[in-house]
Amino acid sequence: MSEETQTIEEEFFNAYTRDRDRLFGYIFTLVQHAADAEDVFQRCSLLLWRKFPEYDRDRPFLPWACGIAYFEVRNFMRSHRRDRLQFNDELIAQLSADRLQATAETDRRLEALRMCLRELKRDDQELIDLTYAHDWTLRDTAKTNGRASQTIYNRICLIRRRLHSCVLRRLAT
Amino acid sequence: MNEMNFNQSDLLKLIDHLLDQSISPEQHQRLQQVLLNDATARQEFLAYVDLHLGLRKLSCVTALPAIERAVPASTADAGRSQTVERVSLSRGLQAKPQAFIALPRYRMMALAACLLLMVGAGLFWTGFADRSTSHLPSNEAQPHASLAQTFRPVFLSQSASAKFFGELTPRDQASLDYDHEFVLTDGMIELQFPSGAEAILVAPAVFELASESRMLLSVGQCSVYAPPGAEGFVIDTPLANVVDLGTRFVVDVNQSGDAEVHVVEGEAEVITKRLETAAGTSQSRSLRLREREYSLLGSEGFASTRPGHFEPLPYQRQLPDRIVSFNAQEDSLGRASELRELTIQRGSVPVTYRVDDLIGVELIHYHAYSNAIMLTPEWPSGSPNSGASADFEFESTPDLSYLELDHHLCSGLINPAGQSTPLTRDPVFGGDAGSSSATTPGMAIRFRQPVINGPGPEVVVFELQLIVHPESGDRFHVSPLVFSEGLKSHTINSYDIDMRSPQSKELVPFRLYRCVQPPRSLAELKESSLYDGLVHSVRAKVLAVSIDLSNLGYAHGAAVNGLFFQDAADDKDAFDPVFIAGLPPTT
Repeated sequence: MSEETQTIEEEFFNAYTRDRDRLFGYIFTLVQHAADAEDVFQRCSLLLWRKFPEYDRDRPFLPWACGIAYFEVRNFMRSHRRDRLQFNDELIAQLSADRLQATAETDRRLEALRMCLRELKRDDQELIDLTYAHDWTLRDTAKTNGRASQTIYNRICLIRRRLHSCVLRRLAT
Repeated sequence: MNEMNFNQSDLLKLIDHLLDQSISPEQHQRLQQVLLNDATARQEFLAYVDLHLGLRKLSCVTALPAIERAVPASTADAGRSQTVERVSLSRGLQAKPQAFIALPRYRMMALAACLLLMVGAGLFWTGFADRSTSHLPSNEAQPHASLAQTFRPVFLSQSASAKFFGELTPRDQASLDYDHEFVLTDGMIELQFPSGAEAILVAPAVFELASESRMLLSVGQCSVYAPPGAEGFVIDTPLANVVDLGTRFVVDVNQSGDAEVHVVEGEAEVITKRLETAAGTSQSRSLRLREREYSLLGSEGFASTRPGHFEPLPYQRQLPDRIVSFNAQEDSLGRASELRELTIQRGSVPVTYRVDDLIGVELIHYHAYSNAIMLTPEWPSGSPNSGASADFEFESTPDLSYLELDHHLCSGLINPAGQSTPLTRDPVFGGDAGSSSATTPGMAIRFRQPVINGPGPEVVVFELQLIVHPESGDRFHVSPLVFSEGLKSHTINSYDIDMRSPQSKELVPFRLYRCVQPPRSLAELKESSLYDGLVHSVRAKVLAVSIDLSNLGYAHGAAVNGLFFQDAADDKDAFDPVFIAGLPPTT
């Protein structure tokens, strides 16, 4: 492998590792479905690697990557228009712009969430853990718990609201 | 902007439904309206989505940092059962680590792993992709105990002209994801399971890897070989499971889910599923099939099991003969220039040839489509009419060696003319001094020594294809130089390695030269004056195809002196050969 190629690879590695969570967050914001977001993320990651030689190093990596992801999302949505509820193009474009403006917020929100989780009761922590660690829908979690799905659904929604309020409160202080 | 009043609680309810995939079309429409019309609602939406993503991230705290961490020693051994120690979200409070499988959503991380491996920085990552391919056995939530099982990787051992819907064709020896529906739209692939079982799938096929010894086959034809030790391998079709009891069998599932099973060797057991039908729930039944027995499986159950009732399905013992791969000299960006060696399956046997071992060709006729006739590597800087560089004397007439002698994959004499109907009689070409009138469109080559027809292909052709042109390559006809009893033309409709194949390579930059009039004979070609010679602005890839002389009607052992090539004239793009060679006789 040439030295030049290795340098490009290292650059890509560093940029990709630094921003991959934000990139996935951007994609998820537009498609709102975990499996779909993963599919788009996979395609997009390979595209980024291929196109990396064209990337202007004087500009930040994330907006460039999101630009490529945006078109991948649009392609994906076009091919799944019939089997998914999708936001219209206008809203997708608006959410894309909003998300790009708010990328700095994401890290702060995550840190606040980490703190807020510690304030939850143990049972609530376990319920959230069970749901998110397995990537289950709330209905799946309810089934596993042997409890009525509406009961679990209500409980988890309530916990999310509390966490949401907690995060907003922490960010405001 | 038209600000719209929204109730925060209602908004969060809608987002909850959206994120949990339980939103109705009416709710979705309502959410869209709110978000479109209210910037504050969108901020709320982004914050709530971040909360959702944050919970996902924090609930798999070891999976994400694993990229930066060394692989645990227990996962370094390929092919072992691999588990990921996942720290519970509540670990900090409970100090209760759990052994967990990596769930399908971590395919994302597998992709990251692959990329890191690609960039050479992921040496410490071997094994993660395998861990990430673990499969959740069904759509239903499973208790923890059953989730603790993990699976070793299933490899795509090789492929032939394979295309997948919506994704790139994996390279040979790539491990495939569990719990992912693959749609094979073209070609064939061979899968290697950890148990030793092998499966060859023929397109169109839809399949999914459910475990180390179980594959879901919704549609398509699959030939299975289970050597000793791999008994118990299961093909799971919509209506029945076919259990391999140490055998070779082939199963073909049609679009309505009906299946046909044919046992070639050994035994297999077919177990129908319990089905809810209009007439009630059917009972599961099983049937053992022995060698040369067949079964048709429909929603009504078994149709027949005895030999003689059906034509046997074609059992695929291996992938077809083809160019498997080739190696070329590469520049610092990984772009191919000179061919070094190629691996070709001939008569079911893979053989690797160095380029110097191949039988070269000599151009004996050339009747072109257009005035764009010659490609050269970029290095001959300067053009005939603009003055050559100081260290390179450019000849202003075509250099036949670009097709005949050099091994560059970006040089050659291109755009031979053609016709839609293949030749049925001897082509006419004038030769060096012959007349140019009424010559046959196309190009003819003579092998520097006769090529002997044996098992499998004997000739290889590489074509340059611009990336904006059809990825399947340009169709062409190949014909005998002299027709005799039993000989015929053969049309190449697809390439062994086309633009979408993982083995296809991008080429180094090249120059395109033109002449005033398209030559209609070798004599005209040699007298043509070349101009232009600009580096082509569009990138190109190289495609490859092998030709079995038996397809032209040559008998086994026949010595073939040359061939005639014509573009198939099916579109505006002409065939661009950059390397043609014969293969030495098989020993």
